[in-house]
Amino acid sequence: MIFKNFFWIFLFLLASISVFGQNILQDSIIVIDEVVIQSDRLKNYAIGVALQELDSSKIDIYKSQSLSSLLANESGVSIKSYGISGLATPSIRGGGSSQAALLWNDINLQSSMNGQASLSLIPVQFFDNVEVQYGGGSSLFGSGVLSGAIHLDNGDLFKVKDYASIQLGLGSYGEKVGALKVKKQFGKVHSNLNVFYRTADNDFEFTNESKFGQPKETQTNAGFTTAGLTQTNEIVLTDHATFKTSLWMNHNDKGIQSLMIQDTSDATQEDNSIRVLLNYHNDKNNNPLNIKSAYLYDELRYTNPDLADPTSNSFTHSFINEIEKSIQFNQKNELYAGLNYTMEQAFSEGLTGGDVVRNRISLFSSYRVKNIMNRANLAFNARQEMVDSKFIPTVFSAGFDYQVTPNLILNGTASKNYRIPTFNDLYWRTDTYSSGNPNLQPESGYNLDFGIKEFLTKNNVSATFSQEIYWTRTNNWILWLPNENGVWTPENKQTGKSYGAEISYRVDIEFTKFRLFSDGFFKYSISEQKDNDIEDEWQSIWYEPKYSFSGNIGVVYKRFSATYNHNYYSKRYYDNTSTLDPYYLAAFYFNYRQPINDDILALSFNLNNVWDTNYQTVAWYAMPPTNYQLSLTYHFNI
Amino acid sequence: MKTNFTELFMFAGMMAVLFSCDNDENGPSGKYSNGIFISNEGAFGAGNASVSFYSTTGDSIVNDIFFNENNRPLGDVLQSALNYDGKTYLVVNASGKIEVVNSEDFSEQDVIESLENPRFITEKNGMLYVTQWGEGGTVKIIDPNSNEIVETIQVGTGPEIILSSADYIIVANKGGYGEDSTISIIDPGSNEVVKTIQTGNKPSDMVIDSNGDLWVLNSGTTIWNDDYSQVLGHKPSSLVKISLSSLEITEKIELYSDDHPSILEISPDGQTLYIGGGFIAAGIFEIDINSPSVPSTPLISKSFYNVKVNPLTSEIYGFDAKDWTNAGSFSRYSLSGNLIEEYEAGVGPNGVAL
Repeated sequence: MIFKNFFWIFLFLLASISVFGQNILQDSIIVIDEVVIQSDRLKNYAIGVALQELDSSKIDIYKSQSLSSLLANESGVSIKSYGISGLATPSIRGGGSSQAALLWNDINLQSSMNGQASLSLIPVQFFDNVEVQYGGGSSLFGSGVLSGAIHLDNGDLFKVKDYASIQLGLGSYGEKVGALKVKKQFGKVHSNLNVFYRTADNDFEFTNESKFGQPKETQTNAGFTTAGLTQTNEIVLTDHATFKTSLWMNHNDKGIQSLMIQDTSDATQEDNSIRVLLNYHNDKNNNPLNIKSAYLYDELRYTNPDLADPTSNSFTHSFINEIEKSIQFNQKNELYAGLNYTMEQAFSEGLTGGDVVRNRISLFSSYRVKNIMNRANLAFNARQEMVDSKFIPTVFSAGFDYQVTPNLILNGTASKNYRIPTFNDLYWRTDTYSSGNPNLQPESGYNLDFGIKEFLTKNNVSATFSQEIYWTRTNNWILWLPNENGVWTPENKQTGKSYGAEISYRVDIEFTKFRLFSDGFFKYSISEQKDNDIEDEWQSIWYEPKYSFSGNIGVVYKRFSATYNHNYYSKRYYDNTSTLDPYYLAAFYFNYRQPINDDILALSFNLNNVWDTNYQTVAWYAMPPTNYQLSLTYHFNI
Repeated sequence: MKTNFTELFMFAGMMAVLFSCDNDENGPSGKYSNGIFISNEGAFGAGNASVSFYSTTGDSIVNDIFFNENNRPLGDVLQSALNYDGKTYLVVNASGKIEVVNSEDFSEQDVIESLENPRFITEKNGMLYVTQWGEGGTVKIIDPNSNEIVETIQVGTGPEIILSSADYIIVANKGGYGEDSTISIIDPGSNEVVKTIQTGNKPSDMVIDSNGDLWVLNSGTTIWNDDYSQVLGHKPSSLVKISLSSLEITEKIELYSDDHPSILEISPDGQTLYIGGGFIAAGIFEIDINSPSVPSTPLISKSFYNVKVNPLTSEIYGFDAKDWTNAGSFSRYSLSGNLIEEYEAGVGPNGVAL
């Protein structure tokens, strides 16, 4: 029994890419409590899936930044960032920005109107753990998880000791950060409150290489303010049952950054969100039952005084209900099934009639065979969704992992995935310039991947290596194009394909006085798209580099840690013929902790873009030169 | 493997372009003589506006010549271009500027900035006149010696096409994001608007015929309900003839009740009008200036983003922007409407500087 538990813990640990070093780093950071922070669904049923875990040590480095910065510097996700604080969307394995979902406790945060979730709006501070799923996962997680997903999760509060922490920070270009975290137990209720505030003017200087004479210019209209809070209560009902409430409110106000090639922009955008989640969990007899209700409200207010109609506002509501249940037949066989009912509503002048509603019901199930010959696990998953009484084609997936030796594990998945059209795609009002298309079909994608993980522990060295190869195909890709009357309209016009490899490693070397560590994520991807109608050649997917690398090398010495972070992106097409130059981007992160009685004072200093690279992630949006962030955190027990 | 072949092919293509450039440089005249510059608008916000050179003697096209010669992008949305006095003036709408290049080798010379939504350009008495939507609709006067803005004239809303006749500068006020129905007549001596003429809903394009009369095409408008879900009706399109001596309308032809052509061109002999564009009027139609009537069968049955007539070669050029993502095309037609050849241009080709 002990062996068996150990085996399972071992397998679970192997499933994540950067395992070792987490423990080693943990004494250099503030959050010390060990918590299991993966959704049950991802942990138990996404068998064989390629996952990258960005653990608490990474979260700590980026805690005063947005999710887009964390993913751009530490993962294999291509982040398309419209300037320093503008819209930032993810692309995984050559997929589109709405084909990689953002999931918060398994709830999809992609907008029902445009299918996107801007990662620059999400404070890293609010989460204990971020995981990137490479490859589709619609059978478990539904529409939108076509090429991958980003999972945001928080650990169980009842496993965390009471504490409070206050953080104050400042940085280049008028950046100010303030954050408060409190966790407190009240009898059977464990509560926490996170408050976060960040503002910056982003009036940095850059060389405008697109203009005559290459003038030095000061960036305009790129400032922003983010303010948000999360409040969670976890009630321990019995030894097996918990009830959890989560509230997440987020406000963001920003200028739409002026382009290098355009006049000064006067446009601004305000994003407000309210997210509420109620979750009952019971794992009696190891047959977990999970009941969830979520309400999501998002509003977007765009103002551009230069336009004839200067304001454009949209509002969306989603009401999501889900019940999941597992039944273990015996030690090996387990059935898991779930039912999801989602109501989505959107209000916008841009939509025909001004508001639209849709009702979605999906049934999903998974069959898991574990511990085959003490070496292998298998899972088969399927989902059937119905949107407004119309069936979406069934999707399925199968995955396995197989322990060849204790130091070598193979894994693989095959899946069919989908994304239903957005409200804008379907119901955009018809005028002289554009029109929605109510006859759109869902996008559908196929994904195949295979991976090898190796582990090495010898003397003072521990290392993990992981290699994944993948192949994807996306049919019925929705694309907006002008029709024969010059009216822009979406059609299922495009086919996408991508294949490539993801190679990652983590090495830790422990010496008597200090530790050295290094990790890296190398990505090779050939991602192409083709118009279905035209006898067209395959063309590179815009903004998808063929090669990219993100990695760190660092040292931990007593209470001090220093990390050098390096990123490289090869050339990226920004239209069918033009490319952005390759670039590298690097940063130094320093951290020092001073214990004061039982409390901890932590000082962190980030030096970003250390080599002063002149780069663009989206064409003609200037990015800042070398800049810094300084932050002071006081952590105390209460 | 396929990708490698594609790359190899692209590489070979690039080498071919490089070599052909080298050959041109050894030629007796400027690199870009004996041809036309095609303006490629690019997609808004993408910053992929470009210029293509079509060599009339070599019957070949070279794309992206601004970038090739200056190693920087032209900017966002190339609206129009003008050749004047050995220089080419490139009006870059969304970048709010005019790039000035040498017409022979396309090397950058200067830039004229601080323009707000500049559209079209003409020359009169050694001065440049540029329409812009900014400041409520204005014409900016630029001295080409200093490339400075020397004067601003207030005209109607959303001024577009600007022409110079023997005595006047004429501006079509299409309305920009809204509607206008006037043209402004400017006296180039005083640089003042001497007359504003009501021509009809949304004057979009103008030409001067062989008799010296001005023709104005009014596009008309589709009227939508508040949430754009329903077409309520149309303001019809029309064609008016204006005498440039009396500055009065002498003839008006109602065109279509629910079609909104936006392009007006004239034959090299100044006797035949061509109308088209607006996406709805599918084709290019001929109208005789001496007996104008509403045409029913097109001369060329293809819808273009823009059409230009080259009086030097007696050809009709059609510019097809296609999907604004892939390369658009430039087609040459004879005056009888037969396709001579089609070439791949840049993204969103919209016109020429002859």
